[in-house]
Amino acid sequence: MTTLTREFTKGLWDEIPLFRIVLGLCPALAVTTTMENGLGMGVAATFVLVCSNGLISLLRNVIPSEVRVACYIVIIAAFVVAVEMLMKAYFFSLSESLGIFIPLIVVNCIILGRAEAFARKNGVLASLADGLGMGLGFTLALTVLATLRELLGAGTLGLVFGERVLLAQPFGFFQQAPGAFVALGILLGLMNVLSKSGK
Amino acid sequence: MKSYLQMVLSLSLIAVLSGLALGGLNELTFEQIQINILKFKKIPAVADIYEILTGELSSEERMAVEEGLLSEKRYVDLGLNEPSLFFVVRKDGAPFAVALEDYGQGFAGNLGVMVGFEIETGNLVGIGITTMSETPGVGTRVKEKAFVTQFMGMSKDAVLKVKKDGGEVDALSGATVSSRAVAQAMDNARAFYTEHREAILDAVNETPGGSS
Amino acid sequence: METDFFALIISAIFINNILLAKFLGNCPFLGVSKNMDTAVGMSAAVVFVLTLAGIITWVVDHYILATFKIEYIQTLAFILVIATLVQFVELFLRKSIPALYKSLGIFLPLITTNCAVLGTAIINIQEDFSLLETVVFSAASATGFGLALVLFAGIRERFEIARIPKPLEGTGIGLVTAGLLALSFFAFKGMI
Repeated sequence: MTTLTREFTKGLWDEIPLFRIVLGLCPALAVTTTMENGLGMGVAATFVLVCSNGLISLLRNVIPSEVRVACYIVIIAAFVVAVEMLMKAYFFSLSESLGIFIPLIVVNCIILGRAEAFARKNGVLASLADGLGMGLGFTLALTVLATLRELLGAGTLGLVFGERVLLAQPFGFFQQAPGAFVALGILLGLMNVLSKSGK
Repeated sequence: MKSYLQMVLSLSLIAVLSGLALGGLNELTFEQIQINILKFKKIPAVADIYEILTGELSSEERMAVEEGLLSEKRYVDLGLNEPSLFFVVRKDGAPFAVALEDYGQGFAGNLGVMVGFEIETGNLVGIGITTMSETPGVGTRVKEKAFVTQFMGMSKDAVLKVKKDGGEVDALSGATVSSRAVAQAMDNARAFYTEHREAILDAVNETPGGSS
Repeated sequence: METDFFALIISAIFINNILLAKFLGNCPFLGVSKNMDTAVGMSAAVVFVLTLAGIITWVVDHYILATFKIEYIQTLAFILVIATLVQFVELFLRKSIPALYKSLGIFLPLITTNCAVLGTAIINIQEDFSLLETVVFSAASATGFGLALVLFAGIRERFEIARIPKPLEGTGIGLVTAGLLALSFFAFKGMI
């Protein structure tokens, strides 16, 4: 049980995607203009990650290793298409604002990376825990970045307050592309400072 | 040889199974997705046009209007790839205008505009923006009243180009490309309407929502 | 509708640069930009694969998916096409042009999961491009990718001799620099 907890929690801090392991950059930069989008993207990716990790682990003795990457891609893509349809049917406006980055979950390196590094060598339960932990870590990272960008760039926090919360003039730079890079770079630096002082 | 067979077999089995599962899911979600596209993209733009006729609506009134517009959609088969969609806008219960969507080349991708034409005269009633991916705070201003109101009641013979290109459309400063895209979309819509006017007007009184 | 190809090209390379404005393909952007040679190699491989993938996915979409009305599996079909294409290009280069394979070979497997390729393929369909527009747009997007990557690698090589705040070393300063590069690309917005 303790190992299972460990598989789950490592994704939340020690190996938190995006901050510690710099993967999944494209969606992280592109959709983090508002907190809602960041959270939505994180949840969609988590769903795919948990499902694909589970299924790949279940099939790990069936899939021949020569074609395993192709098989993983098909499995991941199938879940991504499923998420695409479900979001369009039940969360339409969110799916509109995430746009092309929903299908692009397929090529999110985190998902294929976990399949290759973890799910194909471990049991189903451990893989599910790993997927959930990594997914939530990714969601957390996206939400932090998105909240920061929305607050500084637009002065709002639509998901929580709906109105302007920052009284000062918002700095639109953070809503635009260059601001995304700079904000993430600074966050990475902050993470480094934090983890050093924690030791 | 056996392992080769196993390779091909397992890969195709996975592919076929996921294909089937997705086909099933598509059956389940298809209708809802079509309704969503109407509800969230097309109809709010038609309601924008409707609001020009009635004056500003409260949010409850507007919701009722959007609900009602669901049954004002018409499909007309013009021998194109798929039946063309348009909406009937009523004034005092009688059909007053038709609204149809067309596109212009925006700053980042296509910009969709719903254009309303008065049935009687062919003049423009107004427009509503359906889809765009313009720069937030710059190009997205084409959605604002300050820009949109200039199209209210514009003559059917108006030159739909921005003033810089010798037309009658006041472009937003700093967002010429987006303004140009709106004008282009309107011009396309007008050309389409002029060409198919009779078929479209014939379809106005048909039973609503004959889906395709 | 007539297409202004000049505007399409300028827009794809500079204004809506695939890396700096659309954020597609950022993993290799930070991964292989540490020195100039790998950046040039990666750019060449991307230009080649992205253009080819754009054409093939367009054909697949218009003649297979649309015919059978199964556009909903677009994502699945496209990623398979791209993965197969990359494998095929790898085999072909190894057999026929070993010299080129030597310089591009190691980048090819990375391209399958480069979201610039899948992303551009999807945009081509979303924007309802004709085949010709697809070719032009794909090639121009890939060129924009290469341009940004090579420029960025040039800047990054100078980090070696620069004094960088300790916490920002590595990826952190890379991202901040990319932000400044993106800002400079903003200047092109006035062009069209």
